[in-house]
Parts: sequence; structure tokens; C-alpha cells
Amino acid sequence: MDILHLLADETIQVGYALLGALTPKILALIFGGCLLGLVVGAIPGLTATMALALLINLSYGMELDGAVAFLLAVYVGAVSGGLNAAIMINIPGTPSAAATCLDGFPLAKQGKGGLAIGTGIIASFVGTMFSILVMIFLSPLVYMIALKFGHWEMFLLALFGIMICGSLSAGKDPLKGWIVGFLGFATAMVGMEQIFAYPRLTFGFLQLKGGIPLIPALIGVFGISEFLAVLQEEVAYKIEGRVGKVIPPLREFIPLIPSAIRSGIIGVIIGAIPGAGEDIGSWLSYDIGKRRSKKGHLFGTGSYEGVVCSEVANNAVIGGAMIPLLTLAVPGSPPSAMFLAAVWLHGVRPGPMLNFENPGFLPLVAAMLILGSVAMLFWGLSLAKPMVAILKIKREILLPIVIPLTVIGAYAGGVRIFDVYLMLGFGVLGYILRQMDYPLAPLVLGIILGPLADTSFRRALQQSRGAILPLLERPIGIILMLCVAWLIWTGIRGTQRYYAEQAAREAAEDDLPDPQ
Amino acid sequence: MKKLVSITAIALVLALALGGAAFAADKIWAKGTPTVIVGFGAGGGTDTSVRPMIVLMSKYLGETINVANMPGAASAVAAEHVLGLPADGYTMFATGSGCFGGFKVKETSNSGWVEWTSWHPFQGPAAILTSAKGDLKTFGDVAKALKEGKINMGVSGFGNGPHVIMQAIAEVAGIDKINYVTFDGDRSVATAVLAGEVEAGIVTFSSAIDMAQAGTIRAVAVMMKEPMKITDTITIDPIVKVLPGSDKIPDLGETWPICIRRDAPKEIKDKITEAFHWALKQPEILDYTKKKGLNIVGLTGEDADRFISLQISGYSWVLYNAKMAEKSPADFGIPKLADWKWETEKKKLTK
Repeated sequence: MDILHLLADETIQVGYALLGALTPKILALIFGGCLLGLVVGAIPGLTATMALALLINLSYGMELDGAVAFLLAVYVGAVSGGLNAAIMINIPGTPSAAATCLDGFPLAKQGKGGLAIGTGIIASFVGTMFSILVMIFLSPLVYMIALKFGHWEMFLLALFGIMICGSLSAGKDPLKGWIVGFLGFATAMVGMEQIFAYPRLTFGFLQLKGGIPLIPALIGVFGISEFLAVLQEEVAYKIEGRVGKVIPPLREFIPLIPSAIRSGIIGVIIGAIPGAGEDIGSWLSYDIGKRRSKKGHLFGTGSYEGVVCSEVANNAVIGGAMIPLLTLAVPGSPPSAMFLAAVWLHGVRPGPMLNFENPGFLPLVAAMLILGSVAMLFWGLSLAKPMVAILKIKREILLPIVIPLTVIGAYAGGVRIFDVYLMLGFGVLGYILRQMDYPLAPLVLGIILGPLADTSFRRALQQSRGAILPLLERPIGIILMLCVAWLIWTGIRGTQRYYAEQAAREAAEDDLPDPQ
Repeated sequence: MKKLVSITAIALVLALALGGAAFAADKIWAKGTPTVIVGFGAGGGTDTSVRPMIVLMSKYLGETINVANMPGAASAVAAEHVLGLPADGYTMFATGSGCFGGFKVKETSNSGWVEWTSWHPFQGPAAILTSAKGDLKTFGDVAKALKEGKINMGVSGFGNGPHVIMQAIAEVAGIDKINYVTFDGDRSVATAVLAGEVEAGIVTFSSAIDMAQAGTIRAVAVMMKEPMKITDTITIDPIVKVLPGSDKIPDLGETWPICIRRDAPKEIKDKITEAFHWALKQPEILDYTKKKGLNIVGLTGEDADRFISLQISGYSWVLYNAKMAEKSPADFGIPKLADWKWETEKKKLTK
């Protein structure tokens, strides 16, 4: 009964915070911040972390509730905005939207860009709201799970992520997915490793000592390679069709509910684990969705379910990441680290003392996230039609406009021209991989997960003083190892099946009578 | 009529340009917006220590100062970036003071203290943490378990402040070898102690003071000369009380300096110094440092040079002795702590 009282109490407090926030000033900050976030998120290379880093100083002059409202609205907007560019031009606006490209862009090519954006925005809304509910009511439970993730479990989680590369190859050769995934993994090894700061694969270049940053690589692989591919075509494709409806009909949305719930749970848990983030959340959710769905074979060819899996999960990370942030002051994702810095400036200290020092802060965060999601839904759906209109511009006109933006995006993160060269290099690499029919997504996943896997594995060995056996006894580790083993098994089976089918196809072609 | 419109337009443009020029003449950074490049990621310990100061300094100077992050190679990438730009005073650099000790010996940057003018707002003493529920209740318990090689010790990285201090403590306490486990930041070390992932940890105390106040972790010693009272009922022993001989350990506690190239314009540096001292007196900073358990040190000018020179000496030799440096500090004329003298070091400025 005590728990019920506690839950009722939490609900009342969030309700009060919501009512308190319904002032013109706060609403203006939320709707303004969210729109700003959506625009930042839509521009490739500009991320939620970057937006929050730039806006912290601005929020300093505001009252606490205004600052929280503004920054969280920007955060929700930026995470959600990434899907626009992913769907429209096949360049993820933020790394967390990379998985959305896989189905979003094929849908746009089929003339369903409006519905794809609408579905993505609604999925983002559902994901954020789901995670807020978990944050309010199940925080202690998720926090206990997250606390069990030591170095060994983080390594296994990253390994789990790498192993899904094979299934991200969208019906093509799974082996190619693995190869590209490990290429990304190797790319992530460049630079000073994070334990002893020993330079690896730097060949004496100082710039490489800092490693290969994700964003220039991401923009290069997805964006520049797309540009090169369009240049090569005699008549660049143009996406036809009416903008049509943006909001998907309810009967099409209902079958997606189980996927949405599953993706929400994955997103919240990944968000609550410090060191993971929106991008890992969306990839894992996408892969599990593909395996669990009855229409999994359609993933990668333009499946609304694929968009839902990615977008629900990356937004559910927001509420998940707030759990360790509020209870331990350990941010679960990079943008939430910026949010933490901002509230520190306002004298609020998240962590175990939060309930004593600022008892109203958690309900305030929940209320502002709820309003931020509503604002995101409003702007996202209102802007979907104008966004789709961009698709109607001929690609050979649109892409040269986008390229300077991508250069700015690649440059903005590290403020160094070297990142622009890196972006171009990865663009050429992406183009070659496309020509050879290799999937691009595993490359990015490898770069994201490489440092996590490498550092966590070696730190786990530090902990066990070089012995493997003590690590194998950890309960969550055992569950994760079983999952990895299952992934390897299904991966091998998938590869065998692919080659068997290919051999059968070739044999059938050989058996065909000669037309002459 | 057309002519009139043209004349008005030209007059307007001229007025705007002249007005703009007059406005710009009052500015310290007339040609653009200055930027502080933080050598670590957004939201990290250095980033969150630098931002409150920059916000207030901006306010005092009446000009926006941007903050950007350029992580990589323990902030050496950012240091090299700033040193590679003109010395016009438009780009500053912020890092942890201990990082300077690694630059030359790890061959990541050629800069030492001579290349920079620095301002150090506050210093964070380190503290040794254990789990509140565990058996390690005093510094003596931790030292004994470490000597027996029974426990692991969490640090946020090799060669950073808390690790270097722990090495100095180990030397005084006669601990032969410590098995360290590294984490992503001091806060993660404290969380790992709380979760039982490591039995003990050493962190810059500001990052975990609230957990000690809440009683979820225990601080068994803090690197200070006086006891540190964190709540009405919890007072932490200073290291000098629990470890005889530790008073000889030099001041190796990290600061988070804002730096500018030494050859930047003097008038810009003077204005920054003015804003720096003003910001340190503001209630926001007093409250921030009190809550985070930081000591306001306000080091500028020669005091700041002296401090970084001493830190470089301490940190670089610890890195070298731990076989974590490519070059010996002696190759760069960096003295050992025992041989360090400011009068000798100071001469490097005139070379």
C-alpha cells in the first residue's frame, strides 16, 4: 500500500508541476526551444549535445523552471529532429537517427515521405512519454538494473551491438555486414586509447591522436557517398508523388504497438546505463524489432515498423538517461551530461541529496519533458508537409545545397578542418562500399561501439587482475553472454542460409534452357 | 525621389557602420567573439568547472565568451589547436592543471607552463572513498588491504590528479603496488564504489561530496591539512592526521585553469584578470564551490606560473616512473619534485 501511496503522491506532484508550467512564458520557452531543437536536429552534424552546450550560457540568465523547460525542450526536439534528414535525404541529422535511414529513406523514395515523417514523429512522442512514465514510477527499479552494469557487462553489451551487424545488411549477404562492422570497429581503434593514452594507428599524425570522431565519419558515409552516387547517375532520381497524409491511419498504427512498447523498454534501459546513449538504443531496438517482427524481412526496404523501432527507442533514451542523472548525478547520455551541467549552474545538485535539497525537481523535470514532447508532436506534424516539399526538389539541386551544410556540421563538433577532410575520406569509402553492395550502417555502428567494447573489456580485466573466470560468474553477464551466443548462432545460420539460397538460385539459372 | 531614397539608404548604411565601429571600439574583442576551448568533453569535470566562471566573466565584461569542447589526447589536441592560432587573444584554452604534466613526456604537445598565461579559480582536494556498507572503515583499513594486495582501487585515469596523489600516498604509506581499475570520470569511480565494483577509490572530492553527505559512500581521508566537516555529523579526517609523513606531499590537487597564449595582447589579459577576480567574489561562485567542496584559490600571474610548474614536475615524474611516458622529464629539463626550485624554474621565462 505504501508503494501505491508513493505513486499517487508522485502523480499529484507531477500534476502540480504541469499546472504550474502553464504560463505564457514557460510555454513560449518550451515551444521555442523545441522548434530550435528540431531545426538543429534536422541539420546533419549538429547534435542535441552541441545544441545544449551552446545554449547553457543562455539558460543561465533564466529562472530554474524556465531553464529546465527550455533545455529539455531543445533536447527532445533535437533527438526527434534527426529523423527528418534521415528520411528526406538519407543523411541522419543526428547519430541517433542513423537507424531511421534504413527504412525512412526507402519509404520516401516510394512517395511515402510524409507518412514516414508522421510515423517517426508520433513514435518519438510515444517513446518520450513512455520513458517519462518509467522515470516517474519505476526509477528505483531501473536504477538497480543500471547499477549492475560493470565494465564486463558494458563490454558484452557492446559486443552484442557489434554482433547485430550481420542482420543490418537488409537481405544482402550477412557476411558483408560483419566485414563492414569490423571495419568500423578497426576505425574506432585509431587514436590514443582511453586507458594508457597510448597512440594506436596514428602514424605520427597529431590530429589522428584524438581519434576518428563519429560525426564527420557518419556524415561522410551516409551523406557524401549519397552525393557521389547521385552525381554518377545520368538522370538523378526525383521523389514523386503527392505529399498526402502525414498522420498514419489508426488501423495501421495499432499493429505497431507491441513493437513500440518493446522499443520503449529497450530505450529506457539503454538510456539508464551510463556510457550508452540514443544511438546505441535505436540500433539495438531496430535489430531486435527485425528479429521479433513477423514482417522482419521487410525491414530495410521501407517498413513503418522499422522507423517505429528506431524512433521510439532513441526518444525513450531521454527519460531513461534522466534516471541515473537524477538519482546518482551520472548522466546516462551525452546530452543529459550537458543538462546536468546546466542545472548545476542553477544551484540544483542532482544525486542522492536531491530529494532533500530540491524535492520538487523530479516532478519539474517530468512535467517539462511532457510539455516538451507535446511541443515536439505539434511542430513535428505541422512541419512534416513543408519538409516533404523539400523532397520534391531535384536531387542534383538539393544535394549541392546540403553539402555545405554537412561541411559545417563536420567542422562544428571539433572546430578543426581535419574533420572536414575525414568526412570527405569517409564519403569516398562509403561510395566504394555502396558500389560493392556492402551495407553502410554497420560501419557507423562499429565506430560507435568500438571504443566502448575495447575500453570496457580491458577495464574488466584490470578488475579481475587478468583472469577471465571471475568475470564469467557475474549474473547479468551470463544473460548477456547467452544473448551474444544466440546472436552468433543465428548469424552463422543466416549466412549459411543466404549462401545456400544463392547457390540454389545460381543452379536454377544454369538449368534454364538457352534462349538461343 | 529615387535619388532621395538612395541618399537615405547610403546615410543609413554609413550611420550603422560608424555606430558599429564606435561600439566595436569599446569592446575588448572588437573583431569577433572570443572562444574558450575546453580540452575535454561537454558535461565532464573540467567543462562543468569552467563554465560557471565563463558565464560570470562574460557578464562582467559585457561580451559573450563562447565555450567549445575539443576533447582528445588528455586535452593536448585542444592545446595544440590554440597554440596553432594567432596570439590575438581570441582563443583560450581550459583543461585540468595535471594535464600539463603529460604533454611533453607523452609527446602529445610541446607546451609546458611557459607558453601559457593562466587563471586558476578553484582547487579540488582528493579524497579516498569506500563503500558505506563495507568493512573498510578507516584509512588504516584501506592501506592495510592495499598492502596485502586484497583490493582494487578505482581511479578516473592514469596520470591524472587523484592517481598521482595516490602514488605519492602509496610511497609514504609503504604500499608497494596498487591494482588500479580505471573509469570514465570521478563520478563513475564513486558510483563503482557504491555498487561494490571496486572496494576503494580516489577522486577529486567535489565530484562525490554529495554521496558522502548522503551517507551512501564513506570518505576515509581527504588531502587537506585540516579536517573537513561536510554535515553536522560527518567530518572527514585530513590525510596528515591519518598518515604520518604525508605533510611532505606537495600540493598536487588539481585546478581547472583558463589559459591564453602568453604572447596574447596585454590589455586583453589584464581585462580577463579583472573579470576573473570579480567573478570569484560573486555569490553564485561562493555557493557553487561550497556545495562542491572546492577551495577558491584565485591563482593568477606569477603564482599561477609557479603552481603549474610544480604540478608539471610532480605529474610528469609519476607518469615516467609508472612507465606511462615515452620520454623522460629530464629530457625537457623538468626537475624532480625534490629538486624543484621556483627561482631556477623562473629563468625559463627569459630564455
